[in-house]
Amino acid sequence: MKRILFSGLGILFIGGTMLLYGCASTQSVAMEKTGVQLWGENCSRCHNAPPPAAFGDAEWEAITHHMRVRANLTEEEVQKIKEFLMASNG
Amino acid sequence: MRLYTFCIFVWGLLLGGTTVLQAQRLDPTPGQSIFTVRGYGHSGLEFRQMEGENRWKNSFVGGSFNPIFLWRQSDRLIFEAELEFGFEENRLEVGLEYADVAYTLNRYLIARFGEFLLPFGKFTSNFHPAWINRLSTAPLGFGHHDPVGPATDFGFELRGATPVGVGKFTYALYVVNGPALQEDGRLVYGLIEDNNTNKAVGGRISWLPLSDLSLEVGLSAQYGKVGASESAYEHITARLYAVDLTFRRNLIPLNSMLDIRGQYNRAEVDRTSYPGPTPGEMISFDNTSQAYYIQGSLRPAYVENPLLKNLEFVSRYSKLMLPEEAPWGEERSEVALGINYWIDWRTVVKFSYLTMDIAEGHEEAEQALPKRFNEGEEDEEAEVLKQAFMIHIAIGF
Repeated sequence: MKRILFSGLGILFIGGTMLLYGCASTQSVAMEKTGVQLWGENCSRCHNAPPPAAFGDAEWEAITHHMRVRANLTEEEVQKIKEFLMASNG
Repeated sequence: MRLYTFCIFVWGLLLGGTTVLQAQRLDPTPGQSIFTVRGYGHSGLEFRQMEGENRWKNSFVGGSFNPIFLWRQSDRLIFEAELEFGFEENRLEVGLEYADVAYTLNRYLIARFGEFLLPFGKFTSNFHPAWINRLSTAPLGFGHHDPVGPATDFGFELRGATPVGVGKFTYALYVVNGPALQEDGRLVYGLIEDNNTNKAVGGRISWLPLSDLSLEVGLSAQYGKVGASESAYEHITARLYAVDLTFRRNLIPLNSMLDIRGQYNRAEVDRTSYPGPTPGEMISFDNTSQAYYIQGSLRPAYVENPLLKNLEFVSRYSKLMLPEEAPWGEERSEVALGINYWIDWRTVVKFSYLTMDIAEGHEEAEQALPKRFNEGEEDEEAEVLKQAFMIHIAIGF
C-alpha cells in the first residue's frame, strides 16, 4: 500500500514538475509552427487529417474543441489549427 | 483510499489555483452554441473457419453505427455522447458508449464529468473507431468481450497538455467507480453503479519528445478496491497498468507513411479464494491478466500511381494471457494481416485475414470462450475461431 502510494505521489510530483517546467519555458514551440503544420502533425497521429473543405466554420469550431479534449491538444495548437481550417475551407 | 482521493483534489486545486489567473484570458462568456453530429459506421462480409472444422462459414455482418453528438456551448464547455447501434444475438442493441461534459478550466487543465473514455493506454480511448482502427477487429484483450483494462467509467477527470522542450507532455488524472470483482475472479468494467463505497484512482502521462510529435510514449495506472461492500472480497484491490507507444513518420525513400502502434495492459488482483467448479471447493490462484499488441502499417501515399497511393498494408500481432490456474484461464495469440484501400480521407475498405493460436492445456477454457469473431457477437455454440477473412467498409463522418 505504501509503495503504491509513494509511486503515485512520485508520478504526481514528476508530472507536476514537468508541467511547471513546460509552462515556464517552452510555450513558444507550438507558436513557431504554422497551423497547417500542426494540423498535419496532430491529426495524423490517430487518423488521416481531414481536408479543410470537409466542414464549415461552425463544425470546425465544435470539432477542434472536441479534439482539444480527446486528443490532448494545447490551447496554442488548437487555436492555430482552427484558424488554418477556417481560412482554407472557403 | 481516502488519502488517494485527497491527493487528487489537492493536486487539482494546486494546478487549478496556480493558473486561475490565466483563465481570465479565455472568453468567459457563453458564446455561440453549436450542435453537430459526427461519428462512424462499418459493415462487411466475413468468412470464418472454426477450430476442428474444414468448411468455412460466411456471413454479411451488420457492423455498427456510432453517432457522436457534440454540443459546444462556449469556448469552455462542450458535451459529447456516443451511441452505438449494433446487432447482438440477432437483436438490435443500442448502447451509450459514453456521455460527458468537458469544461476548460484554463490553458493547462480541462475537467470532465460523467461517463468518459478512460485514458488507459490509447487503443480504447483513441484508436478503436472502425475508420481509425486499421484492421477489422480489435486486438486480443482490447475488445468489448475480452478486456484487460477499462474502456469507460463514471467519474471525474482532470486532463491537459503542455509543451515540453521541443515536444509535448500530456497528463490525465481521474477518480471513477472502478471495476467490480466477480465471484470467479474476473473483473467487470464500466458498471453503471459502483459495487462499493471505494473509488478507483488512475491516470496517464505521455511524452512526445520529437519536434514533429511523431513519437508518443504513455504510461497509465489505476488502483482501487474491487470487491463488493460487505462481501468476502470487500478488501480486495486491483492494480491496472498500461504502456503504450505510437510512432508515425514519413519514409521519404519509400514515398510512404509508416505507422506503428502498440500497447501492453496488465491487471493484478490481490490473491484470494474463489468458489471452485465443485460445490464447497475453494480455489486460489495468481489473478493476473495481460494483453498486448503491436501493429505496423505502411501506406505509399507519395507515389504517383493513383491506385497504389491509396493502399495501406497492415500487420498486427496480439496476445491475451489470462490466469493459468483459473477455470477461465487461457492463453491465445493472433496474427492479423490486412490491405486497406482508402477511397477518401475517412472511407476505407479493409481486407483482413487473421489466424488464432490457443496454447495447449486450455481445452476447458476453449469451450467457454466466445468465438470472438467480430465485436458484438456472443458465443452460443462454444465454437472457437481458427481463422477468418473479412472485407469491411468503414466510414468516419
